Amino acid sequence: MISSGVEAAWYVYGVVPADARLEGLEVVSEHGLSAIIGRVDLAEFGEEPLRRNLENRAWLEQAVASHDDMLSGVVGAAPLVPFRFGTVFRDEAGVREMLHARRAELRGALDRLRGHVELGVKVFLVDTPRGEEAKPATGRDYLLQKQRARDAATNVQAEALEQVRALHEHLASLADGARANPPQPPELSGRRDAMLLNAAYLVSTGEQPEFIAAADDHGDGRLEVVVTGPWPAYNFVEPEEAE
Amino acid sequence: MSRDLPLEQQITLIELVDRVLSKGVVVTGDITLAVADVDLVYVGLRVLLASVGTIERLQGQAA
Repeated sequence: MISSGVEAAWYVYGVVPADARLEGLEVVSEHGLSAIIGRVDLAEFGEEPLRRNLENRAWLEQAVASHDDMLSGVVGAAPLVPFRFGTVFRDEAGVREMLHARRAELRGALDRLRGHVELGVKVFLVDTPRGEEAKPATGRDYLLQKQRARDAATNVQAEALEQVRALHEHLASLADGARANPPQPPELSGRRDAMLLNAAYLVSTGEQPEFIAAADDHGDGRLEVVVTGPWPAYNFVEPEEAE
Repeated sequence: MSRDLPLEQQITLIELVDRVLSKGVVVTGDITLAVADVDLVYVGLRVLLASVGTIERLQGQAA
């Protein structure tokens, strides 16, 4: 990716323990911590070009995928603290200084995340077709029908929310961390069905099958449960607040 | 009917952006993504996906 004549910089993907045995990864190590790094060109990742590139969909797609690919390759092989996209240093010394300054926090995070992966769970309220009602004979019938339809929809929504709350509580009890993020609106989820839950759970590596089965069990004709992962623990890099 | 196989990793761009761009450890590098930059990415994606949605709806009507 880097040829001579370009201004190289150090892109940090995340941090693993320095004793982790990972093939083929370039790292910078300090204080028992290894930053997984990649050499990038400042013409691409400098402040201005980066901002421009983020507006380029093809570039963005490729860049976020390769960030995740690099980290996903480490999931399961070593404890891992994922960094946010676009963390770049001008030289190796900058990476070392960062490891030095943040060592206590990074060690704490590695200890917490050891032996865990992140699983994503989204729940959609599936739009069920309503039964045909008789044609209203009068304007009053018409208004009553409209009212009934609205009440039914409100009830469905309220019941579904209650079901989702129970699902989240159950899954959180099986996990070592839980985060409920704001559900995505249809224009982001790409689906017309309302997203009722957009959560992430920190799950023991060995307990993934049980967790997924438990999540799937909550699905029914009305609620569709979608599990994704295993992911690097993007949602769990900060210690969870006391519940 | 359902294409949403668990762990099939139906990774959409949004799914990746949601994690890679808006989560993960934030350290101040020589170059660091600002919150405003990330917000702009979302704005762009909404516009993009909204137009994709429109195309799909139109195709659905034509079929």
